[in-house]
Amino acid sequence: MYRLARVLLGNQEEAEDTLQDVMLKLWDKKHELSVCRNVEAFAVTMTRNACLDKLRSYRHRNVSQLDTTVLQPVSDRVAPDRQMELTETTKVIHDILQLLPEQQRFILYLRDIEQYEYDEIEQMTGVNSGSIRVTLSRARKKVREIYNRRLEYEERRLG
Amino acid sequence: MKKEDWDKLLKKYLEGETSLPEEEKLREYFSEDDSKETDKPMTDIFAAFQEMGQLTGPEDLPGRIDTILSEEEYDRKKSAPVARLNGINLLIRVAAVLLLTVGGFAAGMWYANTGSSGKKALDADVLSARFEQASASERIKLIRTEYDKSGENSGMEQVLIQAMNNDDNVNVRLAAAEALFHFRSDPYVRKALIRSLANQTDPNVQITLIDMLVKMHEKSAISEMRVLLLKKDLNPIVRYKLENGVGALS
Repeated sequence: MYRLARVLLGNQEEAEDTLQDVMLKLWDKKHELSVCRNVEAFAVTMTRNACLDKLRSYRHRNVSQLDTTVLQPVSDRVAPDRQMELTETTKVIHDILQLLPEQQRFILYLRDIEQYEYDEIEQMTGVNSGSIRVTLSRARKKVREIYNRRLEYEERRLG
Repeated sequence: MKKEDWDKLLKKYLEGETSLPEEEKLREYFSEDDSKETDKPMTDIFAAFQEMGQLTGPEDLPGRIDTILSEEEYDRKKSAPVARLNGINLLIRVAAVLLLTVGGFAAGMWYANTGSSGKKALDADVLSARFEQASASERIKLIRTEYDKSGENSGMEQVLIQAMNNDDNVNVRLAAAEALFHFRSDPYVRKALIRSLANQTDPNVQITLIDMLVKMHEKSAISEMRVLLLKKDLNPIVRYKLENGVGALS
């Protein structure tokens, strides 16, 4: 849920605040959860809705939610120099995800970061499998295209 | 598997047609050996997704939620249904409401008569004091709510300039700069935004300031931009923005 909030909002502090709100709402709904068919999907949908509300309020107030916090390195199996590079790359890809339309970002997150099956994504998004695949394809191609352009730009600059 | 087969599988992945086991194979392939002739963007993208998948939430979150829940329980107990109001009780409450209304009105009149400069200083002082006690995320919230409420020359500008230039947290500096943009018609604020460009070290704040100065058509920022361009260790994107900014303002 934290990862989802982080990917959708693109901001560490806002993600933490949102997660806290969602956890409290889940606590309030604890009696309903026992009859819920898929609690995980319910929690993911709730987190997504909370993030969307937050994004709408940013747009409404014309506020930027630029995240300047570097994603913390988490792997302990790679060399420090490779880890630094990986952290920087992850930050760049994370920023590129923020450029995607919200639905693309959400579906890409569910599939490529959390590795959910298509039927689970259907449950969480209410979108049919065919549309999920189309949206996912667009998102993957877009991320690759933007990142490619960025690499080319960096190469040109560094000569 | 041959390179052509991997290319086919990658194409299938980009079309959204791969299964989870196939995607796992791709992840493994792209993470195995950096030196092999692989697709550099996809190697990086898969590695980044894997890193993001390992990102964990703040460790203190469960504790924070526990604290809030215990406070919430407390609040619920406090706001439990009150006993029905009896006649005397009701009379006392109505009298209290009237007293507060009249008192509030009188205080408002007195406060208005003390002049806007007094209010300005008071607002700024109150905000400064609240700033000192607040966490970074609370300071950002304060900035965003306060500039909505305050008009021009309300005294908030000075507090925001202080935050933009000196706050330890880069998100707070960014939020303060964005809030100051709303006061851009004030020459003092315009100058503060230009001067701040030279002091900022974070690329995101620098980029935000450059964008603002260009939007403001602030030609006097050109010299500051040129000075910044002389820095050797300047972030390439900031350099690019500065070059474009100087071009747009010249």
